[in-house]
Amino acid sequence: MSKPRFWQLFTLMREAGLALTLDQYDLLHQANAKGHNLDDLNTLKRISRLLWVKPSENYSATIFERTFEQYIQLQPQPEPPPREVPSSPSPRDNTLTPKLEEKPQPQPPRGTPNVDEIETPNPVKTIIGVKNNTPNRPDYRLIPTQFPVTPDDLEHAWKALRRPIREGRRVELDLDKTLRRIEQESIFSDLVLRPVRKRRGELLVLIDDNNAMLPFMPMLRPLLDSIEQERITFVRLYRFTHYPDDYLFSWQNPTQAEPIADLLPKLHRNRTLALIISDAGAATRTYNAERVRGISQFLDCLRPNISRWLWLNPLPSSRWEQTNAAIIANLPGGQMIELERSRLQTALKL
Amino acid sequence: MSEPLRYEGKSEYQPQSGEKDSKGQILYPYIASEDLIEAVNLAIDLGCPLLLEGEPGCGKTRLARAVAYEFAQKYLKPQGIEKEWPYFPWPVRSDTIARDGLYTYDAIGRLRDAQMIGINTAELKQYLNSEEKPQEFDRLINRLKDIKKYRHWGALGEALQPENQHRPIVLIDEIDKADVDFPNDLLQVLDDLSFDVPETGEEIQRPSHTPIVFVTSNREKPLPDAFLRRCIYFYVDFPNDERLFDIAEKRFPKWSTEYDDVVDEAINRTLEIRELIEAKPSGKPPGTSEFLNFLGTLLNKPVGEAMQDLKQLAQRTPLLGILLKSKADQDFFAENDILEDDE
Repeated sequence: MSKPRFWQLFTLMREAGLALTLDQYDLLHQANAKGHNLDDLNTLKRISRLLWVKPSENYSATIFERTFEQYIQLQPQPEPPPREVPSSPSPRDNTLTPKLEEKPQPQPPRGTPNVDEIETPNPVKTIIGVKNNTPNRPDYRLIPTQFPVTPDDLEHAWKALRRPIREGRRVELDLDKTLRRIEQESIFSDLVLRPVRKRRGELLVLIDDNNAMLPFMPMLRPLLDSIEQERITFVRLYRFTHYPDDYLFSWQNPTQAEPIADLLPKLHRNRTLALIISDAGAATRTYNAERVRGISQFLDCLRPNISRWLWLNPLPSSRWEQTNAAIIANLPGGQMIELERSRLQTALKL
Repeated sequence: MSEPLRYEGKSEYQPQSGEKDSKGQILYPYIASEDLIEAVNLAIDLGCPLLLEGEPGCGKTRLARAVAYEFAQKYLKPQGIEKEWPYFPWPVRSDTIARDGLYTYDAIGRLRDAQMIGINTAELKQYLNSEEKPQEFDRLINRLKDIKKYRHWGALGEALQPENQHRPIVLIDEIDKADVDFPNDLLQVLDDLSFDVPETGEEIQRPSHTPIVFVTSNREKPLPDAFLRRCIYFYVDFPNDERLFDIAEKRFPKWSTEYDDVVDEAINRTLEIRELIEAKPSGKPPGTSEFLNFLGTLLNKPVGEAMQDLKQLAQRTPLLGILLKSKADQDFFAENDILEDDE
């Protein structure tokens, strides 16, 4: 044995996507030294799960369980296993992905029994293809019930958004600063006051309903549900097509128009975050100068009235190039991100 | 070197019914699953914090206390030491900062004392020394001479003191309540187990008896990866029917045999409700502590009434309210209750 103990397990886990460090590898050895019997595969599984699985995408329990199964299969045979170790960890993936990819010639829909397996993922086929471009997540699969952002994530995001800020009149005693002033002036002259911390946040949600956005509408369901169930409050929800002109349309009643000029004064310069959900031409891979101009003008009007804008693009950034999206992403006063959990969280914390 | 400690969760080390701790809090037995016991021992062996997550009311917070109790029974009592195991709970609030857990420094108090000395001594003596506190003036002078008197240790600071004779147990409760930067601020202290107090110039070195740290989280905010990497992570599941029965038995040791059916039925109903509400988006399924309150209420009723209540639970809103805390969940249960449909 040239490799140290558990090294194979450690590297398998890393290859599968767990962001493990050498410290965490060392912890496993320490556990062994402290008398936890890691020769037993079940104990090894429990202990390494305790050490390596966390409530974070980078330490996912699903990846761990799957990879450990793979490790067990590799164990009993001392020689290299007859089958090539698949680079993609999930056996299900192996059957699914090639099938989707090697399907250029149309198959008869109900000929072979295998067709059943392929049937469900079909509607989201494009998204699977797109997500496979991401090199560090080879196992990514999207089934219609698993959306990239869940209601719980939205609730977290909403909490992060309403971070307390000090604003308004200075009425609260700032103890630290008062003391510092006494130290400096060596006499107590006056109190230092500061504004009270308030937890406030308002959302302006603008959803593009152009035809290219249609496939992504089910994905917005959690967001719309959260707003309807009032888990997210202080929201204005509007729709527009391609770019907002002089009017925005109510989400619930698309025929009801509200002049943008009426809306702007109702927004708050420090509290309002504008959330714009649109592919910005990335879905159809188009560049349209008129659309860019329209968006840019709209954002110019919006910018002085809001704290910042955040553009959620359902398409990955690799698809933005040479489309409107690439230009809009560089407009000032906000940023464009992929509609994905960790990115959303990071963007909201800024 | 620290002594090898082992948590076993055995019933011989559990508190007796009605037993109280030094602060008058009633102690209850704690039934830990095998996996949880293994996680605790791993955390003790490796000196890593044990991060506990799980639904509210499933016993995350009470575990640390239970471990401290068992250690006192197992390691102190046989030596004739009638003391509690060092245990330092640190309840985190939304405005808690990492330094609060180490120490607080009362700058205002010191300033006030210093200002007072400037006043006419006779008047000050008269003002401070009352019948209950005849020595207050001398105390003030002593305080002023020693700057450390204005520094108070927090839970973690206390646990890192070199005087600790055993490995203290620290509970950082509901870490997700604090600001997003809080876990990152704690990282270094938890790594090095040492810290400085700039105000007094003290340096606290890594103690020989390193603390055993428990951290609980309700997942209100995601924890940073850097923090997670250093922790052992355990998700506390809701107990299955057998363990639920064990827990009920330990908590209410003296129910008479005629109540056996009530207990069984209460367990069935609770599990039923949990299964139902778990399927409902944004539902809050009842936890272990809700179940124990629910059972406690039922055991105080005559058997017939209790059984009737369990049967028509959907209409018994005060009783149902112990398990389900929102109107939406209660309505959902009333619509989907299997027993109701039979009648």
